[in-house]
Amino acid sequence: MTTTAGRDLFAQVLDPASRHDPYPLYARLRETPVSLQEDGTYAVSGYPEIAALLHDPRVSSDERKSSRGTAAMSASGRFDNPPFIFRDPPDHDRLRRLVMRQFTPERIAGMHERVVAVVAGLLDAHRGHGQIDIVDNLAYPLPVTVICELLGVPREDEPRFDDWASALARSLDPPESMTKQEIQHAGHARAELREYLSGLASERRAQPRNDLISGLAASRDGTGQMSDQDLLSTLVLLLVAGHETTVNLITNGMLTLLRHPNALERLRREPDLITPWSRKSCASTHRCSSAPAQPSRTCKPPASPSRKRRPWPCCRPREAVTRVASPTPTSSPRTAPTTSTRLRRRHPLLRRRAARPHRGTHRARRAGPAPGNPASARRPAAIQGERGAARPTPPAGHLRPARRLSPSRLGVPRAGVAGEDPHCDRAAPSSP
Amino acid sequence: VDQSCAARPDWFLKWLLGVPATGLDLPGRAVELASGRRVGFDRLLIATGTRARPWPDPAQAALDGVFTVRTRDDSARLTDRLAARPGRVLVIGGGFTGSEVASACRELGLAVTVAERSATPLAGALGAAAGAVAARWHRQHGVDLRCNVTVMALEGDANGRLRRARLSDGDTLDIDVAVVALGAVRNVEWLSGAGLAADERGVVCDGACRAFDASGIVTGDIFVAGDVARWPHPLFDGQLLAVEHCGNAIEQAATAAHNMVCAPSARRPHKPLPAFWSNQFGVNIKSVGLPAIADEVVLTQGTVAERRFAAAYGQRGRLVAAVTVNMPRWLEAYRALIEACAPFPPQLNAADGPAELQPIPAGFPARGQPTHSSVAASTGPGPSSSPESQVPAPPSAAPDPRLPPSPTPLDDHHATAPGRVVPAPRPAARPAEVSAGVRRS
Repeated sequence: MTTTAGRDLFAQVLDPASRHDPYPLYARLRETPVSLQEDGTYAVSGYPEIAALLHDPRVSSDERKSSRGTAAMSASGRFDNPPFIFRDPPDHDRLRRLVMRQFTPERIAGMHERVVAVVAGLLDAHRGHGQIDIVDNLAYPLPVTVICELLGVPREDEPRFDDWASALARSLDPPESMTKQEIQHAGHARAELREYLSGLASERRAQPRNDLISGLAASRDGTGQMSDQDLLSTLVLLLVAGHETTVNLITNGMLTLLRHPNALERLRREPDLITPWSRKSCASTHRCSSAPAQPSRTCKPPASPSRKRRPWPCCRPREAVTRVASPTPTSSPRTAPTTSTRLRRRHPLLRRRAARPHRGTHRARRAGPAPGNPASARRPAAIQGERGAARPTPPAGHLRPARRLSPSRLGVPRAGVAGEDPHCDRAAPSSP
Repeated sequence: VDQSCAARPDWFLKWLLGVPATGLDLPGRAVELASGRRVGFDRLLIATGTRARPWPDPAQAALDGVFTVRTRDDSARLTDRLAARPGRVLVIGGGFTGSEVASACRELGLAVTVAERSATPLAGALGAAAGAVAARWHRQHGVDLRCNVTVMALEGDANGRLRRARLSDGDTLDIDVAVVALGAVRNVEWLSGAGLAADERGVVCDGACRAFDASGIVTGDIFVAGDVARWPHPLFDGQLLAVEHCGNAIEQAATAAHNMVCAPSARRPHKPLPAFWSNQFGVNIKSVGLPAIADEVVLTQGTVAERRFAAAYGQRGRLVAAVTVNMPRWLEAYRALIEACAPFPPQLNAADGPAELQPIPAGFPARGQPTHSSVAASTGPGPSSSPESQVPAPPSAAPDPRLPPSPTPLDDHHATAPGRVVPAPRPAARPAEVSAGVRRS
């Protein structure tokens, strides 16, 4: 079912100004789970609708088959050897199987102690300071350390690939929202990261270690099923994913708790609300992800002009809509074992939060679309100023930007942030 | 017996176990029991189910080593016997039960012969075109599969132990175990002459699970659920469906229970799409819809050679069923299409689909019940239509007359493959059509 109302809703979601509180927009999107947008795409925001699309052979995950944003994505190099999440069966299934084979229960279980130790170390380093920068001191270093150790990427190379990874993550946003420089930058970053990983891969092939790069390189050799290019695409994917999603997940999870002190208090009183990590939960996490995990799906090139004018449902960017809409986010290897993943997935309060329409919904409906949008009305001046400044536009998925939150802005230590937090935006990007 | 129910005194359940019902007194609203007792009722649920079709010769069926598989105890007995590592096992009937038993025997490393009267295994459930593919799996796993072959006799030794089987192809097999997998018989004999619309095809009921009487009038107080029921499905032109699958039995039981106690205006229809699955020879087969009424089948995704594919079944240009092999992920999309009465062949443009859709004859027996269960079958229209002859025939050397002896197999796309080619995809022009696949479940 489609309606003409809210045809710019998704554009509003992409608007960086909406980022600090996108929930009213999500709530409005969900009122029409499949809604036709002005640009001819469909925004799909209901869980059953998304689940149906993910299991529909008529829909494709391969962006090369989409007529939308083709030139921009081609320029950024995204069309060259896309990783398996942007591929269709049977390639998707074959490549994914090869990767999943590496995430053995033993390997995951073996990481548990190490992850606990890393978290403890990060927290201990700030013991007695009275405050901590969740992003810089916990949410970012934790998953990066974990993914580096998992893959076998030297941690000391982090400054080198951090910039590449950020640029690549940025290029996952809709091409319309990217500047030419950003697209070029992403292209360079992709090439350089591939070269860097290619070096590591040949090292490991010569001298295997007990890490993912060695495992994947060997599984390529053993089965002859993963080409060199596919191997590099997979490694890039894992590294970028390790950089991106978990950082935001931890940070937004913490932010949500701070915005809901009662929930935080309850969690402190009843830590059992966090499901204990176990091999079993790990295994089920993997089973859950047997479906194709990428929510962005496109269709085969239209066979007739009429299809060209009206493309089939295509929702992009992936995270903004589907992550909030799904009660159980599709998991992937990169997010499997971390505490915060489980927090987000299991914590009943968090889940309720995601499902409950925001208070602003009714106001928004009464006020009508765009102009009276409460999100923009509440937009703090500081952020407007930032938007006007000549610097890269922040990325679209709201869950992403937490990367550069500054500690004072988060207001972590003293008073918990109540209500809408106007500062949940990315400060000027600085190289680490 | 479900002890959890027995342990609920507040439910006022009264179990009458081990006492068969022998008759139904329709005017008197009472069930007659073998003990001579009569039990009156305000509401009656008939859920007598099915039993394994026995080997037609009772003396041969009584030989030590002849098994049927229906209940948990049957399975346990067969498992014990197979664990004792017998010589060759003969499976009589290549339906789902027969194929799964054969697969299990091969996993145990036992020699096994499957005798199937039709041209292929699974012909009744999936059609001969898909059955020809299943035949390859049998043979690749070392099953001695004999199609178009009937077992003429089972022979024992002086101690009553099974020793040999004589086949219609002239062969004599030395065997220690025979598994009779000839489908199911509905437990309706006790209703004979009772005045309900019941025969060997089952007990006819309406969409609300209410039984019909013999004159086609729906009873308000007698309900039917499970394998013994035949009911009209709105998606299949009111054809009466009989589904032998636990999923259907569970759902139909819930619907019947609801309708037995609810207000007349609150009755629910029982109209789920039939669905079933089977694991055999290392493949997972799943089906949704009603393959048995299809006239054509087409490969829509994957490849038969890799044992990962999906096939769609059509009846007169309409999608009526889909089967996936090692590809269960997509089945729900097909379900939505079937429920939306999508055209056949379905134009999916699937990334892993063939370049051209080439429907071929599905190869189902023309009419009547197949020799073994098809899991979900259309059993004819209307509560008072007469059944086709169901007289159990003595073993005969004639192969199944309802199927050609060598059907065209469902296969990957070859330039020379037979079947009609459906050329250019019809465009799905309007977005409204798109939303047909996107539905709230």
